[in-house]
Amino acid sequence: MNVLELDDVRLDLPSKRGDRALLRGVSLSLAPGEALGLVGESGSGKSMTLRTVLRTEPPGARVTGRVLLDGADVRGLDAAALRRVRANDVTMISQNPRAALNPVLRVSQFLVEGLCDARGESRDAATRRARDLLARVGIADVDRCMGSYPHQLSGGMLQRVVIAAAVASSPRLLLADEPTTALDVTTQSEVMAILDGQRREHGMAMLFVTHDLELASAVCDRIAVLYAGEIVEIATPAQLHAAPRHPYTRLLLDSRPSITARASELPVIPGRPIAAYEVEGGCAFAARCPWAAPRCERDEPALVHHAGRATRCLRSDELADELAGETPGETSGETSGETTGEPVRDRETEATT
Amino acid sequence: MSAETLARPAARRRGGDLAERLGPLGIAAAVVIALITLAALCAPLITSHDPAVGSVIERYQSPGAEHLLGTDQSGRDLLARLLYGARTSLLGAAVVVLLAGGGATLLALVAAWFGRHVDAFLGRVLDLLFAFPNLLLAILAVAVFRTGLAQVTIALAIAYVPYSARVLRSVALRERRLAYVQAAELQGLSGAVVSLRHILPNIAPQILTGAAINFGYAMIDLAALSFLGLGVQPPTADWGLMVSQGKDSLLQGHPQQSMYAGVCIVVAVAAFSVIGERLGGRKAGGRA
Amino acid sequence: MSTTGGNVIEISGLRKEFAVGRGRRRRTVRALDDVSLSVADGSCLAVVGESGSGKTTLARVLVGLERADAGDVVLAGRPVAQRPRRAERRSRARDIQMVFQDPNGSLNRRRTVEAAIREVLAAHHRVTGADARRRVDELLDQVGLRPAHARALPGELSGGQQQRVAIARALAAEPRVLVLDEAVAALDVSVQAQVLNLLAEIRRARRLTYLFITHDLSVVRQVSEEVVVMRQGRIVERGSTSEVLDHPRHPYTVLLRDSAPRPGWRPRLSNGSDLAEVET
Ligand SMILES: Nc1ncnc2c1ncn2[C@@H]1O[C@H](COP(=O)(O)OP(=O)(O)OP(=O)(O)O)[C@@H](O)[C@H]1O
Ligand SMILES: Nc1ncnc2c1ncn2[C@@H]1O[C@H](COP(=O)(O)OP(=O)(O)O)[C@@H](O)[C@H]1O
Ligand code: SF4
Ligand SMILES: [Mg+2]
Ligand SMILES: [Mg+2]
Repeated sequence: MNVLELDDVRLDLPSKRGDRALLRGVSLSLAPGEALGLVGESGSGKSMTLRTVLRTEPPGARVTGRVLLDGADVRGLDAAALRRVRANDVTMISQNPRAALNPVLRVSQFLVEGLCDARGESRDAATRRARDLLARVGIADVDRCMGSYPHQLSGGMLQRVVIAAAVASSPRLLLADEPTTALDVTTQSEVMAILDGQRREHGMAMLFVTHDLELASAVCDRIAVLYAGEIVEIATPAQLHAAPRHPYTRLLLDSRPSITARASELPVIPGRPIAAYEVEGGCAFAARCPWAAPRCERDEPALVHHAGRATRCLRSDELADELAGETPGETSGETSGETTGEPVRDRETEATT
Repeated sequence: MSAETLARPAARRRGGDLAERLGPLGIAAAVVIALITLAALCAPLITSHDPAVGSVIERYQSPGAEHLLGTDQSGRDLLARLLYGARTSLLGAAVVVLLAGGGATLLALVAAWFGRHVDAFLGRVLDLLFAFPNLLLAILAVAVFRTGLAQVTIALAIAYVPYSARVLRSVALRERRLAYVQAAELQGLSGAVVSLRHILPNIAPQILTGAAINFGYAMIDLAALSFLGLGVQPPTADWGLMVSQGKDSLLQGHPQQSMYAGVCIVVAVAAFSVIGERLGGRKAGGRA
Repeated sequence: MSTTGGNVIEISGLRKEFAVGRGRRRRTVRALDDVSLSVADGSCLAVVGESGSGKTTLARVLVGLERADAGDVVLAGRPVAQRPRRAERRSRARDIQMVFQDPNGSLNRRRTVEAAIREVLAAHHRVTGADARRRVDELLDQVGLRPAHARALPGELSGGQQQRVAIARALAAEPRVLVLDEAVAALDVSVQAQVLNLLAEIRRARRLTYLFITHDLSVVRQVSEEVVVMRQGRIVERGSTSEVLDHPRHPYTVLLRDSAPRPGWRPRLSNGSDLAEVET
């Protein structure tokens, strides 16, 4: 049985100008021990998808569809059951570790009390375990770390402490929302290595949100690409890199500069990302898609599963060869000048980061 | 949706935002304040009585056709005294708020712009001033100078500066560190220009919120000083003075004067603090 | 005013310390420690390093927002005074402009795009009225925005558009040097690509010199000819971009390169050297 299964999850949020769709039917599944990356541009709904799992969506949000944890729908859980799930089965780490820690508690207090509360361990046992956990997330000077207040630790150290707390209950599922975005590349590498190690050691499944396709490729078994509140492609990293089946994935891959070679001009995705509630029928990506055909504006593509991967594009079969081609450049006759699109009036993404 | 129509919705949104931020209670409070102000301005139109003269024969009259709210111990019309009293009370508080707000804004901008030593020095001075309760400072000022509305008003204004200045300083400092201020500084614009053109408009909401909250407190403090006999001097009409002069009558079984004036003070102060709170989400430049 | 073939920026022996903490915990951080570098006219120098390595401080000293404790800055052949008067700051602004990291904070949220650009035009070139209007449209066009955007408030623009406006405002002064402090770090990949292309195009068209601060080696490869690697206030490696990225010599540069995710990359621990992270 899958640890996590989202089935046609939709999320609407009431706003001054009527209800706004933020998620438009997200379906995905996570096998035990599997890592699934959730990738997409800012505002595409990555964090929202994550938040439906532990029911931490913004107040007033209406969520439909099913969210199954080990086969049981979390949307129907009462407060006590939800707390149990949060304490034992599923933990979440976020972009900003500082927000997760109480600034007036030392790390030792934070960890030990968490362990005592959640698992009813004795103080001694909890302290021993906390030290052990810190050592295992790669903290060299455990004593010093235990005695420090959050403000005395760097972001990388803090994220390790948060990870230590997160894996303490040996959860079956870890929800990670851009855990390394605030960190340096060198620290990111270490934190990801620790997360990876813990995951393999405990057989923990992970839903990993990031905007970095390369990072997701390195640590995930499969990757789901999100656009405007729906999944447009799911595949393994190898499949994605070798032969993306959705135009958006292809363009995302191309627009990232490479560390090994310089492009005379970076291929760009014309226009700006649109929000889920701006989609007006047809393919959500049609306005920016260099391969768009007249029917793309009319017919809404469905997520089609095929050979272990899934794509939401009306033309993905015809385009398969073209999208798989190694040469970028050729598809992007646009210069950056004409790609600015409309001014965005309601970018509410600040609220989420 | 064309970009041509771009700037307009934002302007509209701002007007709508104000009503929304105030909420029903806030709007009611704004109406109350407008009514009080209007009544104070139109006092001569509403009543023909002189607030300062009365005849002893007509003392302690009950409300009736001639004197709608009755008369006080000197036979003066209470409605007239309330209406004209609103002028003194509002004007006094307005002057306090204006002076204090202006001073606090100036100090905040200076401290934020220069930072470091200037900021530290101003901080110390404000801390020192802040250590004295407002009323005590005003009483001291009166002891040094003379009793009277002008002296008391200025003294209170000075007493109100430290708190507002500290709150505004932290807002201004946050603004000062933003890149747009540094971009302007980079162009070689002077500190005064950058502060007034860029920082001031962005801290204006906090200044206004602080002013609204301070207005209520200034009314109470001025009333208290009048009550103590330090502020407005009889026979001028003033709400605080009315409460104080009504206290003897109170003992003789004529509570009207103190009661009316007291209710007016409470209502006005409440209205101002509601507005201040709604505007600033309880964390702006007011005292309290 | 061309110093063809010469260096537009010459920095030598720059030092800057900050006092941090208070009371007994007070200590000094050396944000710049004997930093020397030069940038040739019309080239792009990338500055990379982890956060806190002094990149921003270097930029701020260079444009004159911060005063160095020691060292010299020579800009377009003129030594820069460490305590410049206003007229001097103004003339320096015509030589060098800066684009900041946070697109959101770099524009005054109560002033329109046009007002932001006009302020710079008026300050440096006394361009006002209809001339200014025309110039604003030209500048917006150069950064790929439409004339209609002139009336927008920053809150109505996306992050990428805000960053374009910030670039247009910097260009309004017609500087020779543009300092870009993590100017694309806050942008999504797709928008980042647009802005990187735009910057390359502007540099070509206007023969500008860039000091491009970033922590992203892929961006370094894309934009720069030369690169310096900073760590703890010091330059630990410098050279041509291809040389430094393909054959890094300093262990820290190697670590930086190996930490960047790319196809086939695995995250890994760098043998427990994180002890220095605990600040006491
Ligand atoms: N609290 C909220 N109230 C209203 N709208 C919200 C809220 N949080 C997020 N949104 C909107 O929901 C949509 C999806 O947001 P979400 O946070 O899932 O994006 P994301 O993919 O995680 O983006 P980022 O990369 O910026 O974190 C966006 O359009 C955003 O504006
Ligand atoms: N205004 C300041 N006050 C105190 N310390 C500062 C200040 N600016 C920078 N620093 C310190 O100087 C060092 C270098 O900072 P910075 O130049 O911002 O690094 P980078 O831009 O490479 O991340 C850091 O340790 C930082 O904390
Ligand atoms: S359905 Fe059409 S518009 Fe949408 S991604 Fe496929 S080709 Fe492009
Ligand atoms: Mg998010
Ligand atoms: Mg920096």
